[in-house]
Amino acid sequence: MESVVIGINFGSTNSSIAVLAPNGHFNVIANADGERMIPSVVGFSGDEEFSGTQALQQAVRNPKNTLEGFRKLIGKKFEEVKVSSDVTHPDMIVTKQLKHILEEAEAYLGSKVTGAVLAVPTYFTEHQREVLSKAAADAGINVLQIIQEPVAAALAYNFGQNPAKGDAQDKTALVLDMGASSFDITVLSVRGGIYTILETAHDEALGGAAFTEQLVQLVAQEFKKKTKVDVTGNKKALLKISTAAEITKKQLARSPMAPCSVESVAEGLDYNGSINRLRFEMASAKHFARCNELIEHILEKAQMTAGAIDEILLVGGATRMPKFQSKLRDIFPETTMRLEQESDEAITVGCAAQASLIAGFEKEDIVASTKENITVTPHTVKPIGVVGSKDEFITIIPNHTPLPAKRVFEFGTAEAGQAEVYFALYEGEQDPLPPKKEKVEKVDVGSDDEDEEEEEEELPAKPTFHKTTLLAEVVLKELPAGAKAGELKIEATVQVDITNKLTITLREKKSGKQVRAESA
Amino acid sequence: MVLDFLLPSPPKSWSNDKTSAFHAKITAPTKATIQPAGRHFLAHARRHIHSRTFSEDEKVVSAEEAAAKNANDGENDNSDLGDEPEDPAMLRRDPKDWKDQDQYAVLGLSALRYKATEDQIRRAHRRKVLRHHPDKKAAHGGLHDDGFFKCIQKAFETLMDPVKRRQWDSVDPNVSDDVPNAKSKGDFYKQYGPVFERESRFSNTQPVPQLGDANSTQEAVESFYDFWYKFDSWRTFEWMDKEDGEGHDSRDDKRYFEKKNKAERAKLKKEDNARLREIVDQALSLDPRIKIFKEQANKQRNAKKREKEEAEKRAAEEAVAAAAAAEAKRIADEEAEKAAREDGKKSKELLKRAVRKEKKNLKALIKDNNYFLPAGQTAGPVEVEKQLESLDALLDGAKGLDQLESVRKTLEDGVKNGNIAEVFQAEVAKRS
Repeated sequence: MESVVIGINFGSTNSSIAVLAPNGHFNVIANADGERMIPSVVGFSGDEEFSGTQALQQAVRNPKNTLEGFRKLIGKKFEEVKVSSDVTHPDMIVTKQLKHILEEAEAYLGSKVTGAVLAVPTYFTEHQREVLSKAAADAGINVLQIIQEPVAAALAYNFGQNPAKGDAQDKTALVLDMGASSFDITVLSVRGGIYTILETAHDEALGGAAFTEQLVQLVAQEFKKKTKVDVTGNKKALLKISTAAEITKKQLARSPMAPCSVESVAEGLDYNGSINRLRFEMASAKHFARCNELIEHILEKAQMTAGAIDEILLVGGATRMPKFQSKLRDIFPETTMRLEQESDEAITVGCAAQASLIAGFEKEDIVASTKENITVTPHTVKPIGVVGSKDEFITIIPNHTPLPAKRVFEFGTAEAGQAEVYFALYEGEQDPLPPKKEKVEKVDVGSDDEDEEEEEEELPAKPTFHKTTLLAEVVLKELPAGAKAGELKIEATVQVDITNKLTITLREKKSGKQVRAESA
Repeated sequence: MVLDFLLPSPPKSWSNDKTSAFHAKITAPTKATIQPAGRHFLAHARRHIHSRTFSEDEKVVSAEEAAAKNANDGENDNSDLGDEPEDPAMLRRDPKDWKDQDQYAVLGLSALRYKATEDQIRRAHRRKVLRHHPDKKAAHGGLHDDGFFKCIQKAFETLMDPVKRRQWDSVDPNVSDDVPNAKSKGDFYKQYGPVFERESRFSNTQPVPQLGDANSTQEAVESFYDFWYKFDSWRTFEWMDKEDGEGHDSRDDKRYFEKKNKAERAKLKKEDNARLREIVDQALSLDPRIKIFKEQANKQRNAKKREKEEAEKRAAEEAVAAAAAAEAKRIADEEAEKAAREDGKKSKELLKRAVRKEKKNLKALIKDNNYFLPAGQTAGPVEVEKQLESLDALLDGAKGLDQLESVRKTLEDGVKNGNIAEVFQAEVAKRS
């Protein structure tokens, strides 16, 4: 049977499904209602059950028996959970939602799904993952693997994978995942194409919903001004406004002004108005500030400067907000911001990519390969590299590189007619970070002061390293004579194995002359 | 990965007998969890599970890939044929009009056309038959429509028969017959190269010399144009013949059609030859190389001419110079002669003058010394006359300056000694 594998992003607010299309791209598939984002909502009304878009639609008239945001409850004990409806156990709701997703996928594909890869947030415990896995199995999904959300996003962005050349880059990324109801930050390093999570932080209060809430407040105030009707505490009215505000918020990401209209907010009165983007940004300034605070905090925790981040991967619909991106530029003025993926579909696409990658394997092999004896591996602490002609440290194997590691580099000879080359390998240490400038709070905000502030702004420097310990020296002798300076190409292979053993091979590419040295 | 970094020679302190030295261990690594996702993790897991090193793993993987590739190669590789979409209009063609159909397009060979080899045609035909065979279509629930299949068979027949294929290739409307615009600007070689390449297919003699480029030798260019002016084309226009359909049973009718077709063919062939001729003419007139060659030839001729002229000029100049030299010599000689002559004259005059002076001296001497009369004798006019006559006689007798000088000396000595009279008498007697 041909394998049909999908990637599922089971989000706390929305879920989505992606599949590998015949043209090699990953398609996010729409459900029967034409939505690519399937709301993670389950509703009960008498004997009827609703999930997805339908559940969301009936939420207004059936708020008590409609459940959303239940992903956060996965694996938690029933006593810990305070669900408004006591209809059923939360894990069973998860099963219902996943079953719904599977049905949508199979309806679209027209064939049975043989396997799926799911993504979970980094803060999920092993127990929670197991519960999710079981819930999925109950829903009839053959879970191939559960991967971390930032890793899925990185796969979707093809971060550090460089499939064309074969040699993967060594980079560090900041994955910013702002979904509807949480903000997850991950510092993710990729070394030789292998991902390691260096640091994570998350804030459940921050997310698209928080911004929508600001918008709801704005609308409620406006409504009160116009109609003298106070909707505070009116759950149904607020829910109505919230639904409209959600749409308005999305439009504000694209245009500087968006209409917002709610029919019959309260007491049969309609609301018709439009919201200015600036006004919305002003109102939610504290949320934006909190985002940056969190990012700066995680950088500090990871002992990194903003310059050490090579790429920023944006995930989740809320990262589309222009203000969010421009605020990011305050911290990272130069860093590449990756936007080419639809940010709210990145995780789904990454899951599908991983699913198609492992579709051919036996389930046992996949489970075996994700066991700790393989995934827990030594990582280098300090970068290993060579010293250039100007005594600068050139990194060959950076820090945070999982072992075993192998890097191949090519060098030239320095002089014409050189008969021997000398290769020295050093361990490096990062130069001390430039002292952080104390932010002087300025009391009077005059135009002159603003100018000064702009001048003071400087780019966060890329971290530099200096050599510390000489690790090894190798000499390659009897090179072919008569070559010009830089003409001979020396290929240096540096390997560090799992027991810390260092192997260096120098090879002259034309004559194939080589020397190999192994540390004890 | 290439680093912009050059490796130096070993430092002086490096002892010659060792090739490597290890000084320190890497700082103890920390344990961390890698994320089990992505291609590179799979490679990592594979290496770990089979406990292979990097290079061993590379070898195994490349061997596996090669094996997979070989397995694929077992099937017929039709990648050279391309995969062109079938025009729906073409699929609905009436097989009766097979003569007008694009024989290559029917087999899906529009891209290759006259370049398609026999093997390629055979494979393309097989591929099309597999898709369009009436049985196959019927099996898929389609109508029993074998129209396009017939078209395929006709096209295959045409293209596999060398004579018929030539006839079709001759009139293939999808290969351009255009004569490039002589006035259009642009790279000559890019413009005309493909034209000649295209026309080459009609040549009876193969291989056909091609246009080449700006660096072609004069010989090559000349032989190229020579070839194309004598182009021997197999192009034929039989494909365009009007059918002598069933209606013409009579021999006369048949003959009439034959004659007409023949005339038509000849006319087309003539036109085609003229067309090719035009292309070659145009190319020749536009060929930048020909211009260069002409210029070079001109330059050479001019250089020779100039050389010749210069030689002549030089010869003439030399002759003139020689004549002038002769003239100058003559003048110089003459002048020398004249000078010599003048010199002679002058000396004579000097001599004369000296003589005259001598004589004058003597006359003065005689006057001062009492006319050489013996002492005590007063000089009366008679005596003076007589003495002067004697002197004149003496002077006439003493020829030349030398004698005159000796006479004067003798006389002067006589004056000094006081016996001048006797001396004078003796001298007169001696000389006259």
